[in-house]
Amino acid sequence: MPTWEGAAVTDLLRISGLVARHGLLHAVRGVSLTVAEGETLALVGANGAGKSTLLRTVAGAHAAAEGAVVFGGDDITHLAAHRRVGRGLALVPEGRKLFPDMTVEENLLVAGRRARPGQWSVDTVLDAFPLLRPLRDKRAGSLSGGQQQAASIGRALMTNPRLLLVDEVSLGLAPVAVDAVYECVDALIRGGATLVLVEQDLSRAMSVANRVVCMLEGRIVLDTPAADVTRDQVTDAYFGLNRVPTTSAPVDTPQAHPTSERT
Amino acid sequence: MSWINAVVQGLFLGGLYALFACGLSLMFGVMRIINLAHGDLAVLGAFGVWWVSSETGISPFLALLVVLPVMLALGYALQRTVLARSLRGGELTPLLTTFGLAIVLQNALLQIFSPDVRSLGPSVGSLATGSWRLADQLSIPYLGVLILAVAVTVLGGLQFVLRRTGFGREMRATAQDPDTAALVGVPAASVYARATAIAVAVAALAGTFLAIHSTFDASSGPTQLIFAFEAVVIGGLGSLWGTLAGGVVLGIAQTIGAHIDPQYSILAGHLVFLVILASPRGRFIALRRAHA
Repeated sequence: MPTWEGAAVTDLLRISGLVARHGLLHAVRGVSLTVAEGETLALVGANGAGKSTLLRTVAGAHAAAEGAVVFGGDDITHLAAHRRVGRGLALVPEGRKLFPDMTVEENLLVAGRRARPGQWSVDTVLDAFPLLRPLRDKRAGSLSGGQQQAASIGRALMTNPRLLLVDEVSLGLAPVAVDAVYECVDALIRGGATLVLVEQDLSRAMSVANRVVCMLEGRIVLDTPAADVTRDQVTDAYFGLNRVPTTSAPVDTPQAHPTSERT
Repeated sequence: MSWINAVVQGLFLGGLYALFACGLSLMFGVMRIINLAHGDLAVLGAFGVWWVSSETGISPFLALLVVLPVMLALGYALQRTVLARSLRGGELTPLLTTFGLAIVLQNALLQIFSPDVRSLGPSVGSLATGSWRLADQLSIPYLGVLILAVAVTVLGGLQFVLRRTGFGREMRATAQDPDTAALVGVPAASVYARATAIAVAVAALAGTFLAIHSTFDASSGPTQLIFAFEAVVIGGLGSLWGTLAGGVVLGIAQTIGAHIDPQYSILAGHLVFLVILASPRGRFIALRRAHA
């Protein structure tokens, strides 16, 4: 069918029935999700909902137990993490994870060494994130949290990704630093990048994303365009409130009623 | 004057120890593998050079040019096959693996080359024995200068590669955090294999200079391993210039010990090592090891 084929071409990432475990713990339980080229997807959910594990499994840092990850039309479910980078998939890991004993510039260069051809180089990254320019010869371990997050996003960009996964964009950052990091993210979105952001801060997430996906206990409970959903509806999905009958909806969220058709 | 001479000879001996130590330091720094077969791989290299040299009649230095690529390939294959698997078994498995490898190497060399003690010294002519006499009791041996120059070149070259090249940055990134390195596209397995290849080739280089400088047999490896260990620990883990300094400190301790009484040579080296281990610097090394 033409519509289906059309969808397949524009879907950069297609995850189907993905299961990932930490030992006996099923962190990701049969997740299916597609990300289209040029989309900014906010992945939200409570701690332990499986967001980080989902991203790490897509990036190849965690093994998939079941299901498939298709990227750019190719099945990459069993591809090693460093080869996925070569295909254009980059993850900014939770906690930034810069190489602490290397300078900012070296952190960028190490990622650029086997990069796909593309627009990003040390200079273009420093242009996009001006706060990094005076820090380029500083040890990455000596940077503040916000500077590290910018450097970590910059480092991922050095691989010229087609899809950038950012785990915990603002976690643990000072409000000022969050603003700075989101300026970087906004610049990327304006440049047409395809992004998946894991974000604890719902308002932030919904302000930049054009699609919101909420995970609960390893499953996707909400997947909707950001424009069609209110903050309270996402909050309900976040806490799993839509699973209780609407008649006993919590008193603090009376707006929860219109969401009852959602599953 | 004879004391100065002892220090000068110790400096040159230190070059040899630093050459032994840098491969050990590299493998520990990049992969957290303590290679207990390091000394035996060095002796294997020395036997390789001796064999090529005696079969063809060429100089040991030319034979080294043949042996080094072979040792590079051997190190690469060793990591890809044996060590990569042991690394998946946890931190202690590579220690057992290399211990086993050391035994296999020693016995294989004993089987093939017999327990005879050999030296490459006679095949390099006056280089092994000649020296510049500066004063009555002070002389600079040609070979000592050569070994120290090679050690400084190798350590400096490695330092340059680590600091200034893309491959070196990949090695440092993988050493600091292999999982994150993979997430920025660095193939850890290939970085590990190349680091091991360099370490084994440098070990063979050190083994060859040992064989020219003194004698070697199938069981020479463990002694050299201990000296290399001591040089690495004295100099501080993970620092190549520190390793050179550590080798020189150990070498000078040994020659000064020998100057007091020949039987104190090795003992003096061990004592300096123990003193440094017991000093605040030793505690610093132990702490770094703990959270590394």
